Amino acid sequence: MVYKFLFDAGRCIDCRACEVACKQQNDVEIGVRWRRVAEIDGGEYPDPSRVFVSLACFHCSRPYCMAACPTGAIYQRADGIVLTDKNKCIGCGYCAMACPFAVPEYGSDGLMQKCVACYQRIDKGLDPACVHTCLTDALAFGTPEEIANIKRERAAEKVVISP
Amino acid sequence: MNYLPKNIKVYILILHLSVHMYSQIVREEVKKLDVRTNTVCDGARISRRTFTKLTALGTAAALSGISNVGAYPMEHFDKLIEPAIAAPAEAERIVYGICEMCPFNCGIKVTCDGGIVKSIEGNPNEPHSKGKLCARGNSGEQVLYNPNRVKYPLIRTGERGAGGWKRATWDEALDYIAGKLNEIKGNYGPESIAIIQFPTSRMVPLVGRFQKALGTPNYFTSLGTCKISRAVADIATLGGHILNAVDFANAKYIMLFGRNTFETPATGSVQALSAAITSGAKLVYLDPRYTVTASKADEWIPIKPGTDLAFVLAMMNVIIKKGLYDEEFINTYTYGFEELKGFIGEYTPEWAEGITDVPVAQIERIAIEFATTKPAVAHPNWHPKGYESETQISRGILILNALVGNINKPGGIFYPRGVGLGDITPPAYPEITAKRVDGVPDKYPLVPASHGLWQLLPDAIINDDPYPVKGLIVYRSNPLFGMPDKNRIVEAFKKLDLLVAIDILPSDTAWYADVILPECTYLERDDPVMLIKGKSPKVALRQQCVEPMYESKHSFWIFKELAKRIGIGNYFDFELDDYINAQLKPLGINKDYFKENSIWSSDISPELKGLEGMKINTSTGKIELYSKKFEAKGYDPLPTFVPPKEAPSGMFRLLHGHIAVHTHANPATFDNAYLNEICSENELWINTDTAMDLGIMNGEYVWIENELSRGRIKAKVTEQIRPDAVFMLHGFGHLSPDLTLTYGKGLNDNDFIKAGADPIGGSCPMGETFVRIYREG
Repeated sequence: MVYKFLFDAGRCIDCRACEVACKQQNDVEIGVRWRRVAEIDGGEYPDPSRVFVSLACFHCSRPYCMAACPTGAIYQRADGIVLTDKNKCIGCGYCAMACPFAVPEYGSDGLMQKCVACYQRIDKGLDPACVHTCLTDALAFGTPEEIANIKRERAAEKVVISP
Repeated sequence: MNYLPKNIKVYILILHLSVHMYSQIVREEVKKLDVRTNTVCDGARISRRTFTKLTALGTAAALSGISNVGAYPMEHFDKLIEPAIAAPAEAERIVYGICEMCPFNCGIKVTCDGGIVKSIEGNPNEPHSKGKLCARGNSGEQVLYNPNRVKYPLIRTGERGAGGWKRATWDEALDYIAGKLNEIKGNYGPESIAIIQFPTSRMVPLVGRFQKALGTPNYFTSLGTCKISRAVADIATLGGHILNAVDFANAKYIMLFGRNTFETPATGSVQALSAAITSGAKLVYLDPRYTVTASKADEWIPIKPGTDLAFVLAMMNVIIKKGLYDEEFINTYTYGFEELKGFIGEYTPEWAEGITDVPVAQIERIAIEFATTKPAVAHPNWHPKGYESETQISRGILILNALVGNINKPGGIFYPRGVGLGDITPPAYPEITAKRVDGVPDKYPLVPASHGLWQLLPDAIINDDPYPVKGLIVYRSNPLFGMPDKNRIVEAFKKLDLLVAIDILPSDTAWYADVILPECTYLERDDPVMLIKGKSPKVALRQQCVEPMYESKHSFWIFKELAKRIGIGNYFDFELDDYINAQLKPLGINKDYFKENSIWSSDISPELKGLEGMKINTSTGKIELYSKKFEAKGYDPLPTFVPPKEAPSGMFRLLHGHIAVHTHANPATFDNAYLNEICSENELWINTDTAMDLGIMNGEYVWIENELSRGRIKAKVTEQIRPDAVFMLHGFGHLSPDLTLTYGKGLNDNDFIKAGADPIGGSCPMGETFVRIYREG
């Protein structure tokens, strides 16, 4: 069984609660942000558009970062959560280069760090802090089956309410 | 559905752009690396880490500032916190409390470990947060552990605002204040002492007790630059202020007139509005700016600023002319429909088009949709961005809701229900014969004296009008920053014999004070109870999570000690626990109840069943479309449209507003490491075409100027605002150098705004502000 994040841009309101919940839960230092909301602007007045995307580590099933790491500092738990071992990290930055989403970031110690999916909370049966605090349920976390169910339920709702 | 990205290509685009953004970030991080490795400060907790690091930097810098007076050396914090981390003295425990990062006071669940706040999340049983918090609520530990906190009582040593302080004991500071207060009282009378406090404090009743016992009428909150006009409109129309009681979750058609719900996040409203949208409600949003809320709306209407009432009147015109109003509701529960009908005839969509910039067909369609989609609701707004007719704008929106009969029904506006709380009966108060200095109630008969018009206080002080005000006690409010026109306020401060600031952080007002008293945060204190009005009322209690840091004290203790020293100690002849227990007595519980329970719930049914059998507290006992109260006071009893001022040639209307990570003038979110990291500076939003005309490039610094001030701000050239208005976030440009994270960043919109008052409801017409914009050099 593995875990994945679900993000629904239609629901995200750029409130940044996820970012800050992550920081306080994981004591992420200032200057490093394991979760980050990006804004993509488009359109022209009077028909502009704003879309917000909250991104963290995807905890890939085949993590490029892990494959690229020369010291074995990046490892994957049985539940799919990808973690970094500071004792083995040498700060070479290969993981950041390999990651298609440039997720790993340098900390002030010169070593790499990234989202740990709040594994301490997961182990207690709780959602990651970012998901837990999301006011609009734009974020969800669960097994691929759970994620698929959420997506299908939402899609079904849209079918029902469409004019 | 524009609630979802239109197709998969958008997703792919987003992903590519995000990847690009991340690569940029990583590159920047790598560049900074050699700098960063020199400041390694590893530790188990970032809060502690930043805390010690910043403190170390602070102590190395000038020692003259508020935050640095008597600051501990870095080793102290290791002693204070390190053992607690190494070996938790007490087991992890959960404390239910109440957030205080913004005025909404959501319920929180705090995990404490070894005397340290480990994490803060929402209280799942509290009806607003339902277990979820906004970014501000999540950042609370950055206030608690902010090294910039005021640590000890301080007495000014140099000129006001020069930053010279001497550390005092509590006795010294309180004796000093009491001496001055007694002197002012002796020379000028108690009315010469004014009190300002933040209006959503749990301490409101007890600070009010202090004011009444002291015998001064001059008590203010910040509502004069906020929603006081809206409150006056509610009271005149509905018989009571319903504030934010709008049942978004059950509505099928929602109209927001500049109510930027998603960027002023009351956790409950955000969740309800989001739920309504996902279940298919139509959202129509009117605002000159394309806010986050606009981006989630089915229809964004970039209405001309200050003309919302014209749009509302034209909607009413269509609804009445086409007979789409709820006749039964109108006949049973409202007063003045015939007068309204006669009045509305001239306000046609054709008339409104020229004023609002919204086409006739669109106004007509929306009016018909609003009247025929059940249930439909229009949020009566908060502070409709400040025009002189603000009270009438709010009244117009309330009447619109009444026309479709959607009051106190699911998906409508409703009368929030409360329960009666107890009190400790005070001894008889001295009679107050002096009039208030802000003209309430003589000039402003409908403005509640429980808030007053604080923006008129500086002029009263400067002109001794109608009498001298010589002492000012400011309790966790920041008038110097939060009120318009700082030069006038500084001038007023200079005339005072005593300015006391009771605060957590060294606010701008504190920087100019004579004495600063350090208060403890919401995580370090119990507080009087919180009544959560709503469909079914609940009661929550702010409970202490950790010991107060430094020498900070509870404001109850501060006011009680001050009261003792100025001869009114008999009004505070009890402890805070006694007061809390007295408040809870009618509920049949005491303070201990909250050790076991996170919330008290009444057994009142949350069902909204219309108005049958309800007493409406207006003179006619009905919802007043035609206000008898306004008529009696000589105001227009119907919501006549007053056009906003036109921008002088070459000038642009300056709009202001909020972002979800910050709150008003309170430095708690701006001088906050987590929130400052997300938004550290405000920008001037300028429409692309306007910017092109002015030759302004995105990201460059520009000057804005009017008769009050001139300042430099970064330009954000955007498609997301009307070409005739510019916008800046409120809350930047702090004056206190001790707010080290935010000092010197951005510009304060209030510098450009004139103080004034809507003649009916009193709110400051802050939207009537115009600026010239030009490039540097």
